[in-house]
Amino acid sequence: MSDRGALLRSDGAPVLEVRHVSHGFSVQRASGKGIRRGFVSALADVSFSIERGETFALVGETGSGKSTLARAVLHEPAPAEGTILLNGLDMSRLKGKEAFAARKQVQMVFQDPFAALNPRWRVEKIVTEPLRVHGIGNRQSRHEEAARLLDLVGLDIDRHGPRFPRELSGGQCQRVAIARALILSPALVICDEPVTALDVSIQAQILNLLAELRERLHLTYLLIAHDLMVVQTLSQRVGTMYLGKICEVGPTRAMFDRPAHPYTAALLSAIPPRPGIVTSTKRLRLRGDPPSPLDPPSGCRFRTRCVLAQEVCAEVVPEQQEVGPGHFVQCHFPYKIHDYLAEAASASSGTPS
Amino acid sequence: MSPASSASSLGPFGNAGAATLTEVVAGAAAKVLEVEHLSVNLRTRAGEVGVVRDVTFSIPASGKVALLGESGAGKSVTARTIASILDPRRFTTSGSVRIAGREVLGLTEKELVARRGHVALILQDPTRTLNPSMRVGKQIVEGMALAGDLTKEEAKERAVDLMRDVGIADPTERYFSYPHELSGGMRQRVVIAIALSMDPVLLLADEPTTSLDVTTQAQIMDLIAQLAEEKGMALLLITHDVALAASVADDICVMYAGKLVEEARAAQIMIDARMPYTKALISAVPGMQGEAMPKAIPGRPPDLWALPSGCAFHPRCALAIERCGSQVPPLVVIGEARRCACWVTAPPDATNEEVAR
Repeated sequence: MSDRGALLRSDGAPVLEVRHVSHGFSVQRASGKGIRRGFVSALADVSFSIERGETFALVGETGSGKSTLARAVLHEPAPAEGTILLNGLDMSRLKGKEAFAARKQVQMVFQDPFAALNPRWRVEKIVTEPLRVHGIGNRQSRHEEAARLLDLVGLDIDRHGPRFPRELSGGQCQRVAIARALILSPALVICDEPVTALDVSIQAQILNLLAELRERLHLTYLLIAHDLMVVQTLSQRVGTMYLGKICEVGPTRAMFDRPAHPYTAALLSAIPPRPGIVTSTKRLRLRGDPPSPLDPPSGCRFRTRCVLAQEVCAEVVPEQQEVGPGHFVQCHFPYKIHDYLAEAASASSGTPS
Repeated sequence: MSPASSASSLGPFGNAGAATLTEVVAGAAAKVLEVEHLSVNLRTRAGEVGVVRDVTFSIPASGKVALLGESGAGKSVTARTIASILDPRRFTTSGSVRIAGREVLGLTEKELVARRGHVALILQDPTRTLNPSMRVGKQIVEGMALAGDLTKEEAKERAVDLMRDVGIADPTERYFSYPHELSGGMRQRVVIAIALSMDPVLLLADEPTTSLDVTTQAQIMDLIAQLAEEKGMALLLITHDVALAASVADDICVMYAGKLVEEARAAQIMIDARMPYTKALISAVPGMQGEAMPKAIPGRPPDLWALPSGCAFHPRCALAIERCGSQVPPLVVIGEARRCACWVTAPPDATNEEVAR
């Protein structure tokens, strides 16, 4: 498993395979000292795969590259380096009509349901638009499809079909957006912060709907979320992104129980404590903000905020290593964070505060 | 509770008004904030609608209280009423809001200006709080300049100190930064520095971390709680996040459709919520039952224009009985610092006293 593409799992044919994808943007920034040109490396050698029926989640802070990765999967824009295979098909090799048809395979659900729906279209027109774009069916069959999809997401074509988005609540709008994403029977649905903009009680409705649809329709999700509790309830596997790199990837439960990478540990530690969950270890707080992606740190990109950082972290980019079944980490000191936290906890309990 | 600690924080910065304020706060068992029978109506072309309905709660000196609720529950309007920043042309208020024993409702603009700074408000989005075309240092100094007790140099010195207090590295350099040159977390730190610049006795934080990254959220919330403690300020946290509220506040007040429906100690509410809405809200949060899916609350938050009769939650409530649909349950005392409004789980009887209608 020394191959850098070790993140790829060989069993079964994955719905999505991301191999060594890198992507960057050139930027110009006006600063006090004139215009600075630079290159933002938004994705650096990212590899992972998603099996059919699985939910894979990406977590990380703003600027970690989660959304750039989602856009790369949609080929908007296509990644500068690396390959993305969808059902084994390399979209960047397709041209014209073939490429257009292949796009049916990936659909997206966005964070803000109001912004994602055309305010001047009625719900039925919004939901059937993908069918019209791809020239599928006739007026009658599209109406029937819309009725079927709206029913799936808990809406009614006669009651909600003729309405405008502004006449619906946030939760209902998100249901419309989900119906629109599913009407082409996509192989992969990218959910980019699907419940962040919703009220707590509505969040639970949408999360349950997404889980239920996954079971009924054998959907495959790429979930992008910053709320780790949302990730925990919905995903089977998760990848932590930091400054354009996936620093840890593995089964959700294993990673949440015992994260190997200090950054994953810090993200988990940032969640306000839940009742019944005893946190014996000291809370781990990251200081400062992520460094600029214009000038990422040498060696391990996380080292500037890492409590474990040693000299080697600045010099050597950590190799991918397997720490459990399907659980990979890029860190020179995997699991060391738990020793550090235990020591810190015993040190602070030994001296009266 | 040691109200004396707030006296020291005023230090050289206390003007005449603040000095008396300090005395009031330092007075034994004084409440920093007392909200009594507060109702706020929103005026629209279509008529008036009640957004806050008969809310009563208080915060003791150095106390931390969280107002918990979904959008439309009236928690932000309550905070804005306390901060006296509601537009009087759009909102009418009744009841009483006392800060350190003094009434703030119905003050004239002039009286308000003299009182500003006693209460500080931290809002959700620092980008919208800050002036994009003014250096952040100047924005911190601005309030102090209005108070007019300090020279320019003294004010600047104090601003730099405040920036250091809120954890901004290189404050002398950052003093001259514009908001867009700072990260979201840094901007929120600047907002907190502005909030502290007038030595408030009460800090209102309205979803202060919602627009920030997870790791930054934790930093900022730690900072707010720590500063409130150090400077002896009382804290009113407005949030929709039960876990956050429980980890920061001593007491939690739950609001639904403009009414206060339950109050309890933070530790209690997570394990022993009485009002069915609070219970449902807690089970709707992902991760509250380990890995199980969160339980959705059926229906949606009520339309303030067409409130259900009786208890506003009854159409969504699994326990609702006939009475819930016809009569509004009173908020009754059911224990120490515990109140609940529910016909089923907290029926009023001879032993509990009715405190609000």
